[in-house]
Amino acid sequence: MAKTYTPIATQTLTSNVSTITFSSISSAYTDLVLVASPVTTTSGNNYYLQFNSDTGSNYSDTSIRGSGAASSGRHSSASVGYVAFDSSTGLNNTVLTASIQNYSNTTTYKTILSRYSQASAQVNATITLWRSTAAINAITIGSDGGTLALGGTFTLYGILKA
Amino acid sequence: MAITSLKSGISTRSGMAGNTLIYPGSYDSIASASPAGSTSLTFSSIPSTYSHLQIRYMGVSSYPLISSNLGAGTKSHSLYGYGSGSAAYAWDPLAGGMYVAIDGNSGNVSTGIIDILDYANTSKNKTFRALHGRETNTADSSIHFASGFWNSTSAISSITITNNVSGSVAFGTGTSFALYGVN
Repeated sequence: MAKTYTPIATQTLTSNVSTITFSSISSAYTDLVLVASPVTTTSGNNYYLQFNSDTGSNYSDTSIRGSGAASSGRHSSASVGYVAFDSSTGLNNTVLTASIQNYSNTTTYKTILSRYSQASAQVNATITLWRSTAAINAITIGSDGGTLALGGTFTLYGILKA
Repeated sequence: MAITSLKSGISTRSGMAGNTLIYPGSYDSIASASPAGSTSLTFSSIPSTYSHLQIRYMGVSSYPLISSNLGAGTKSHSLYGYGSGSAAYAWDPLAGGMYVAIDGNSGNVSTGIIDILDYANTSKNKTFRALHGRETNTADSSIHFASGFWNSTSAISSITITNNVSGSVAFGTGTSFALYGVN
C-alpha cells in the first residue's frame, strides 16, 4: 500500500498579517487538506480561502452551525470562499480543517469541505464552491476582519489515491 | 547515525534514547475506483491491518447509501442544512439502507469523506460517519453530517456504495472514490 498524506508546507505566524498564501502547489496529489488553528484579534470574523489569486465574485458557500443550544444554517455568495464563521477573539483552541478534493482537475468547479471548531463558542461545517475549472496552484487564507493573528498555524497536506 | 529516511517518511532525529521517534506515514492508499455509468461500487478484500478506514469521493450525484459485508445497516441519523435558509435539519432515514447524504440533484458535483472507525475490531459494533456537501451557488446547495452503525461485531472486509436507494441511477461522469487505511 502506498503511503500518503504528505505534509507540503507549514506556516506559523510570528506576527499579525492580513493573509497568508501557499503558492506553487504541486499537482501531484489527488486531494489537499488544510489543517489550521487560526487566531483572530476581533470577534465575529469569518475565515476564507481564495484560489490562484482570484478575487472575483466566483465563490459561494453553505454551512450549518451549532452554538450553545441553537443550530442554524447560512448561504452566501462572495469574492472569497468562506470556510469558517463567527470566530471569537483570543487563543480559543480553534481547529479548522478544509479538504479540497480533486483540486488539480480541469473539468469541474472546485469544492471544499470544511469543519471549524471553537470550543468556547461554536462548531460549524461548510461546503464551499470556487466556480473555476482551473487547477488550484495557490491558496490564500484570510479573515474578513483583516487580520490573521500571531500564533496561528497553517499546514497543507497532499493525499494521493491508488 | 541519524536515520534520515524511513520508506516514504522522513526522520529529522536519530533513534537514540531521549529523541522522539518519528514513524513512517500511517495513512495508506488502498484502492480507488471511477464508477461513472455504474449504479454502485464495491471495495472488497479490504485488509484488516489498519485501525480505521477513510473513503474520499467526489461526483456522487444522488442519494448515496453505504453497506458492507455486515449488511445494509441497523440505524443511521443525519443533520443537514441546505438552500438559502437559516435552519439546520435532522433526519432519521434508514429507508432501504444507511444514507451517506441526502443529495437529490443529479447535475452537480458533490464531495464527501466517510470514516469507518475500528472496522476490524471484533469486540464491538461498527460505525461510520460522513461529511458530505454540494455547493452550486443556488438554493440547491447542501451540507450534511451522517452517521450509522451495523449491529455486528464482525470485521468489515468489503464496502459498497450505491448511488440511490432504488439502485437504478448511475454515478455521473467524473465520479471517483478512493479508500485509505489509517493507523
